[in-house]
Amino acid sequence: MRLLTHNFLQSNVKGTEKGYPLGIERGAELSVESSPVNRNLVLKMLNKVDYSALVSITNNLREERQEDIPELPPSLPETLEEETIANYHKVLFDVQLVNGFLVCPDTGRKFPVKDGIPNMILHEDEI
Amino acid sequence: MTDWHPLRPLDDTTSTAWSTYNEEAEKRAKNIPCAAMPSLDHLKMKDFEEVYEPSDDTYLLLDGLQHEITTGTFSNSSSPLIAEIGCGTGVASVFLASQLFQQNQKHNKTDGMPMVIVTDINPKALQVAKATAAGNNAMIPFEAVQCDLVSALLPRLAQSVDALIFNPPYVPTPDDEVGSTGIEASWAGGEKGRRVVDRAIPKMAQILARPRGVAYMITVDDNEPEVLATLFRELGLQMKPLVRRRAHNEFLTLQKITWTKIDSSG
Repeated sequence: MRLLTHNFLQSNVKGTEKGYPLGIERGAELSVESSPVNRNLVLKMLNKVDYSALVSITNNLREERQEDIPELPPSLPETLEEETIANYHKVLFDVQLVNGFLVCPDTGRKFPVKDGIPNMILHEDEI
Repeated sequence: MTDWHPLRPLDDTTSTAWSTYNEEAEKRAKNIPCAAMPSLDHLKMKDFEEVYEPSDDTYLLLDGLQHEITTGTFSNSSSPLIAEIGCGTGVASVFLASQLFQQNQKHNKTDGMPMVIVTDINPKALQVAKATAAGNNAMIPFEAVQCDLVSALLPRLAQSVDALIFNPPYVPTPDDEVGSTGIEASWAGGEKGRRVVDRAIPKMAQILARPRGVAYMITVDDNEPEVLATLFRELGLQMKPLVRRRAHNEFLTLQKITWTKIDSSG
């Protein structure tokens, strides 16, 4: 799953206040594969992104994969240079969580990610 | 012609406008060319023991989406976020995304790449859907999330989805057949085939972009589509038959759901 999807997901476990943003447990298997930048898609999706959650997860992942993952500006710049757009593209679309766990920030509930598919199903007693 | 009004009583004499909509949808379905099914060459017969195999409802959904593309519903929507609830093999969202992508290329607009996010409660369906996306157009970002309806995306993604597709479990069954995570979940709809649909309607309203978001949902007449229309209406949405076709002993309809004009300022 892409970091864009990470930005969209939240935990709705019973007892959760906000359930957002989800953490990514250390040691998760990531893949970073370059793909062609699509400027329009990046701009369109940046509109839907929670920016501070994106920066915070990017910084966390950079602790382990600094060479692969670009640093993002702490706040969204008003004008975007091509290079900045390429960096957003890389973070949103090229960095993928393959196997690991997403973690609810309020309850600590872990959601497994297997072969790029997060399992967000809640058990009956969690709803 | 008097406009059909969802708050009118639902006996046959007063729902004549609804039957008119149905007749129009049947004519529309006759006049459109068959949509080309995305390739499912990557699947084996065995996969269909666990994942819903495309059938008449799927074909109607694809034909309806093709009609929407050719009549320009999406012509002003660049890089839309497409979501599908209960994606099964994923053919519907892969079809819509690929067609929009190709249409953009035809007009030399390389920059209108769509993005797809699908959900299903059945993990096997999500693996298959990802393979369908990769096998047909690997360029388009395609994301799969295992969850109930769109629960893991709300409220975070409220009012964000530009095109929403839902081919629900609409078959009337005993209520206790609803709620598995296997292939039964793809069709078992409980009483009137409505157990899942009724739960989905408020979520669909919540996640759909305003004012231009558009949703497509399959119904059969046993679901009492007129009642579904009133449920949508209460949330500011209009539901209208788009294409309609008889399949064996049931009438399938693809319903198109849009924000009503009154609420479109939001």
